[in-house]
Amino acid sequence: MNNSALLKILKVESDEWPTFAQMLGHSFFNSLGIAFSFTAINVLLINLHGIELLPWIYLFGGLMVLGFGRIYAYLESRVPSVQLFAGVLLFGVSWTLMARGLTVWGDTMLMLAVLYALYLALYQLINLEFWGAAALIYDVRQSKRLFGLLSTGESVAKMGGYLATPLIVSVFSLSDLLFFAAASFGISFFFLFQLSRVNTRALDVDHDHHHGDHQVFHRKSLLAKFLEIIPKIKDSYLKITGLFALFSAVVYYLVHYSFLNRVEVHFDNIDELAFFFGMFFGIGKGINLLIKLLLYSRIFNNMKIGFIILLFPLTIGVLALFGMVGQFFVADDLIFFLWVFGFIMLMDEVFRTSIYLPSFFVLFQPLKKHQRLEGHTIAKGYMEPIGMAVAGLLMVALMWQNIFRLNIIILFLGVAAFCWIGIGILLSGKYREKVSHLLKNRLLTSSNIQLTVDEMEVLSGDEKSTYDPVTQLYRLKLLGAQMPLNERNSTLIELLKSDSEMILYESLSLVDEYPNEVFWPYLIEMLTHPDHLVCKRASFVYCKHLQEESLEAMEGVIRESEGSRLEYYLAAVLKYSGLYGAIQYGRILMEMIGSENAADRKSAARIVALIGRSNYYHPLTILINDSDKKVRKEAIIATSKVANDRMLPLLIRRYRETDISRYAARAIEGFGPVALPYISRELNKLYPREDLVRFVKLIGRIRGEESEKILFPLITHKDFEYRKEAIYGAFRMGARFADREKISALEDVLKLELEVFAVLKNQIYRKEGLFENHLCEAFRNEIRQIKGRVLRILGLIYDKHLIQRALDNLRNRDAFLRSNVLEMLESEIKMKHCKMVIPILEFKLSGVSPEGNQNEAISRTRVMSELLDKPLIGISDWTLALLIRYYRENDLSMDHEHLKRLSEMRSDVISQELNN
Amino acid sequence: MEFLVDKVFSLKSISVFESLPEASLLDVARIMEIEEFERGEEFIKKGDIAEDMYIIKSGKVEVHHDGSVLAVLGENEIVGELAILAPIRRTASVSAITDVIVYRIGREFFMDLLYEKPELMSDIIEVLIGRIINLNEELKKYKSIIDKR
Repeated sequence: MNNSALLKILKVESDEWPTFAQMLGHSFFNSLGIAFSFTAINVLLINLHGIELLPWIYLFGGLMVLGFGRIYAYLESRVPSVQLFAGVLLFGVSWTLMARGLTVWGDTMLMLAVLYALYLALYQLINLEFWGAAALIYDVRQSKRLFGLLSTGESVAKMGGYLATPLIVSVFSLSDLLFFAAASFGISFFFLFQLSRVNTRALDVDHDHHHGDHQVFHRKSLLAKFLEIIPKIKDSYLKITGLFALFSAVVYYLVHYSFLNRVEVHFDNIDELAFFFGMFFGIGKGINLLIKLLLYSRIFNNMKIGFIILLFPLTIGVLALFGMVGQFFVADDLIFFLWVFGFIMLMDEVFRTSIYLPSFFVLFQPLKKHQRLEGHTIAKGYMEPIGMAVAGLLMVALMWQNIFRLNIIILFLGVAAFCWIGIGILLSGKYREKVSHLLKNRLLTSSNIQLTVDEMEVLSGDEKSTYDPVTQLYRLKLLGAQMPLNERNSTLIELLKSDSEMILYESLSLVDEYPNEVFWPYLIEMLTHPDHLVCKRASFVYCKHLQEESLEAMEGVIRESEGSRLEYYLAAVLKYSGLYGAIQYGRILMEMIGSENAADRKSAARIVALIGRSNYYHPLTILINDSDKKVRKEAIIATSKVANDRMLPLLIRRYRETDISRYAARAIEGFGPVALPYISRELNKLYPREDLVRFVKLIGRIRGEESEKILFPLITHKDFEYRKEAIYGAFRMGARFADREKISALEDVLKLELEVFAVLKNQIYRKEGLFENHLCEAFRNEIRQIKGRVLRILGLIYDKHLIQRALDNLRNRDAFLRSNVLEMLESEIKMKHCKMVIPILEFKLSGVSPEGNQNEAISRTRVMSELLDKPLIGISDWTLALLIRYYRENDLSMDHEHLKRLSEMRSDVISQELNN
Repeated sequence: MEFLVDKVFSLKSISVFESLPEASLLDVARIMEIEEFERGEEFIKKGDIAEDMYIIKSGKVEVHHDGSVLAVLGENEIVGELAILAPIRRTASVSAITDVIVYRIGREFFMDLLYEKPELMSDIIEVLIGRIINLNEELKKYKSIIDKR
């Protein structure tokens, strides 16, 4: 088996391999050191003093480990990560040498207890060190894929270490075992050094996040510093993960004690103990390793992380329940508990590091770098020792009450396990929320801006006395209807005297809402206001409320004006001043329509637009066919304001004119669903394909159920361009196809996209691909487009906002943020859909082939069959055109059926290449 | 006949378009028109509002201002690149010094295309933002040189 095949099986990408191998080596030697240390300290404890000391060790060891956790967290925010990690390994070597000293120079109960507690601290620190480094190096998607594999180093080492222990102890001695442990930590240091050289940037953490914390820590008294040991966790997500870790630890130490308690009864000499520990844990790690290699990736590919973290607690819960109930049905409960606790301990060995811990650490990976480390420290550095101390305290309390029996412990174990499961369920939901929340939301729109109750109170209460015009404006807008008439009028008059165009413009809409004759003199003045918008709104509000009476004032301003002001005045009187105004000024409008000057005709179109009444459509039927493009453009814009259905056929005809189609499209959109039957009819005509595709696009711009009905069949249309536009259009309008039949049709489209993706990916990985720039770029671009399309298809099945958030964030340069997007999708959508889209979304367009672009077996001529033999073509005209050119330039012959299919596509670029 | 595929390859030489996917440029290629100018013809006048951008397909042109020649441009070179994005005034005149064939892209057509293809618009925005970022970097570099002095 060559290296690339191995990487493929392990699902490690080629560029990840050097770091992965170093991490694996680091994990192996860390764990070997721990396995030797663990065996040595447990054998010493049981052999020299007995198991009764253990609850006290848990209790005080827990506090000691908590202190070490605190020191680690303190240093973590001050010392560069690599130095801190190296310090942990140095502590490991020191501990083994201390333990060796104890075995040589004799021991006391206190010394052994201290040494055991220090071992527990070492175990925590080694965990923090290794998983901390992994957390900094990998993003959430890599973590899910690699964390389990990384811990195989640990399984292999511990299995080997435990199994080698009886041999080492029989050939050398128990104290020599500790030398082997020291050597392991030393070699691990070498791997850490290598890692730090390759991953300098990843292992660098921004320490600014913690600075405030240090300063506070420094200034406090000794007592306050001691109290600092109790962690303060602000983030609710970290609190819940911390609680989850706490119960995990309580369960572990209860099981650990109960297991050792049973073992102690059965073995009483050092060789037998070493042999039993070696074999028991060796077998446990063997099964653990098999699970990692055979089941790990299947579990992580088929289950969501929220469920995976529950697998282990559920197993322990069920076994504890079995123990609680089973004791009543057996004759010898001591033997029964040996089996029960032995089996639970074995399950713990099997599942804790293979499934549980990798999935638990993945929970922190969507967070920012410093929060990831904080999460690890809280879970392993704080909560585990607290859990240990709680377990110890519980056992000491039971001893004190003389009820320290295994049937009582199994009861506590059951309660702890079910609390653990409950918190796990809560955590699973929180994880989904957190991943979603961590992604940046889209920009707020004005619809999100709302006044709070407090702001409303300010506006309606004390602010009465203020003369700030903006505040008064808001008061009138929000509370105008409830205000006394006099107060409202006087406030509004004050505003109409303002120098600010913005205040005047807004005040005019209030005049429109609360008309009163006291305002008219101010409006007449504003008819000639220098600001065009104020002048325009004043004309319309004045004519609207005074109708025929407005003519007197308007006559004067019309006579003296020209350009856009004349357009406003004429539109206002024609719209509101009744029959007399229409007769008097309609004549001017007709003259403008018939004018030889294009500027007059353009003005006429704008006046009609300003009037915006459907009975004014007739002038537009003339202007929309004008010889001048700019007049046609204005007429089209006016059509959308006039909104008379009779204009639709004319507009649709204009839509096919490329130079003004943008305006025609907007005008047609303005008609809304009324326009749909007209557009649908066009789809059946023999227009060029580009025009028909544009009509599909136009349907996608009109929101509503009717559009969705027309678009849905187009999503599965045989023409790729139709399908593409229909998907984009349906997604844009927020269509959702929830029924089973439609979802199944969308899944078929997703499958096609996945198949095309596989073909293109292989083509990119082809050896010669490196030298075919245009073609390779086209394939990469196709995959880029497929990424966008599959997400939009998901948006038709799931919530559009979720998918929009994914689309927005996938463009981000931050790889960690992009990996969070995939994690969010995996949390929110069904696994079967994940399997269709995640491989596409995860594909690195700039990456290299895992085979190193050496795959010569993939023929370029095969690509045509792979793409064209499918019932639906799933690739753009551009790429097909380039492929045709490639065939021609390399004198390759094309299959007759493929030629036929290509020529039936009615694509300009493909036809050109075929005819060349 | 000029092939769309070749037109796309020509578009790749324009800095605004160089980093855009070729498939997206196919739509731009569709709105490109061929135009011919005779030797000596002034097809861009200084002070006019720019409506079109030109890619020289064959021949040579000179860019001149108040009687002095600022540049001579040839095959695959661009005249008035920014005109397709904004209606700016021409800062110099351009005349053909040989018979010239050019591709012309009109702003109105291009704007229509952007309306129809928002994805193209976002690609162009990314290119422009990239340029702003690069300019800022350059400015920072120059500022630090000046500060050191």
